[in-house]
Amino acid sequence: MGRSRVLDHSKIRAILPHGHPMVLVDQVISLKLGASIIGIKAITGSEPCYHSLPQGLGPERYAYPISLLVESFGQTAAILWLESIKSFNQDLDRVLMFTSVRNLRIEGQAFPGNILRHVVRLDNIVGDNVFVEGETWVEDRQIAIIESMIAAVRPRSVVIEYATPSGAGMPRDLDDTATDMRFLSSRQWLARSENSPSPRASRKEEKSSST
Amino acid sequence: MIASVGREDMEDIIVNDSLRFAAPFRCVEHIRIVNCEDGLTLHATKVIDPTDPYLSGHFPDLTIFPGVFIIESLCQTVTLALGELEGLLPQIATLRSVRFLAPLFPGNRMTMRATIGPLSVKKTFEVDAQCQRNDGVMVARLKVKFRYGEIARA
Amino acid sequence: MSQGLEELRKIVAEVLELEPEEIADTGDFVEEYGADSMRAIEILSRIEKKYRVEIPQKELPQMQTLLSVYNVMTRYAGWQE
Repeated sequence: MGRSRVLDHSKIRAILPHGHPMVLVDQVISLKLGASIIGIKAITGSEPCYHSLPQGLGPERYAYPISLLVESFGQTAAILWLESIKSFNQDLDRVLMFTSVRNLRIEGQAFPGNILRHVVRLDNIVGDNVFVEGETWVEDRQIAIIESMIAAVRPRSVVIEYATPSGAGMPRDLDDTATDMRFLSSRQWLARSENSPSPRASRKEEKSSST
Repeated sequence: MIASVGREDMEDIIVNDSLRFAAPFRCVEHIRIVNCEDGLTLHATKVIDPTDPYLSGHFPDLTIFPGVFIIESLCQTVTLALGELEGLLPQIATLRSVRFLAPLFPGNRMTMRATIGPLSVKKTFEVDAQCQRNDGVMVARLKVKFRYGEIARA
Repeated sequence: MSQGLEELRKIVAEVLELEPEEIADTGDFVEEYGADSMRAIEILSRIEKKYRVEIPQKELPQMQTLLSVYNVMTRYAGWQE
């Protein structure tokens, strides 16, 4: 099994391309490269999403916005991905774009004082697309269940090219976003995380095997 | 708080900044509610403003409107248009399918068209939404189940 | 052939959010069912996981109809033609 790792907030800020106040993971309490991650985020009444609330509202109005919960989960997944590929790819000038969610069920809510605990598992990799699944907990309550979330890894230059007012949108063909990342095939990736060979060993493996 | 101009089958809502529920920021500026034989449709717009909270961090050197805030936009639109049922606000129950197809950048105008399904006996309803950019590119498609329900507390 | 094809039809239908009956054997996912490129990737991923096969991303352009997806399975998963 891969070894467990813990990441403090300063490491998280270094890993994620996001900046304050959009860094929605406080700590990583478990990390198995290529396999799974547990990230936590404390919810406090002093965050931006509670800024404009007028006085006198009932407690139910303080439920943590689902959009931010989903983003927090997605960022936890992004950390798993970014840390996992670090060992065999130097060029990290990538933007991780959240492309789809399927069947994300909300079972409960979170409030100021709660700590979100996102348990994320890597489900599959298809080219530059990362599939994850998992759950979000508050203590012993499962408040969200995520059947599938997909993120695409895109080179930053490609994204900037489309950043014009009349931008044509993201390329639809995968060829347009061809990257120089050398990914292990998904099978090899998942197998690797179970056996946990050293990065050097897996580079040799990659070169000698055909996709 | 909300300016409302009513007509028999159409109502316009101009949303100002003081939302009465926790939200990253105002993710919808104008809502048109159209009620006709086929059902209820909401048309919502928002111009992406890079000075909105959170955006300075997404990302520090390139501002892209986070996809999750499109979900937020739908949630606010539904909440502001439909309002309370027995004192409870509508909540997202399930994001059945959410697909982000193209990015939104500062200055883009996002237009969302959401079809609201009938209220079930369990006080849930389905929403089918499409989100377009001002140049006509489809930015997102969302299928969301909402519910009016008791809050499950931690 | 038919059982595998029907299983694939169910997977495709789930991803495209349609009923299996609506997926014709030669219906083009993009042209007829309005699928975007992400859908093909999802279909590929589900097939990989369900049948424990590995299908290279380069096959995606060849996976635009149900029959062509079946064809990919004959090449990578040893399914009968």
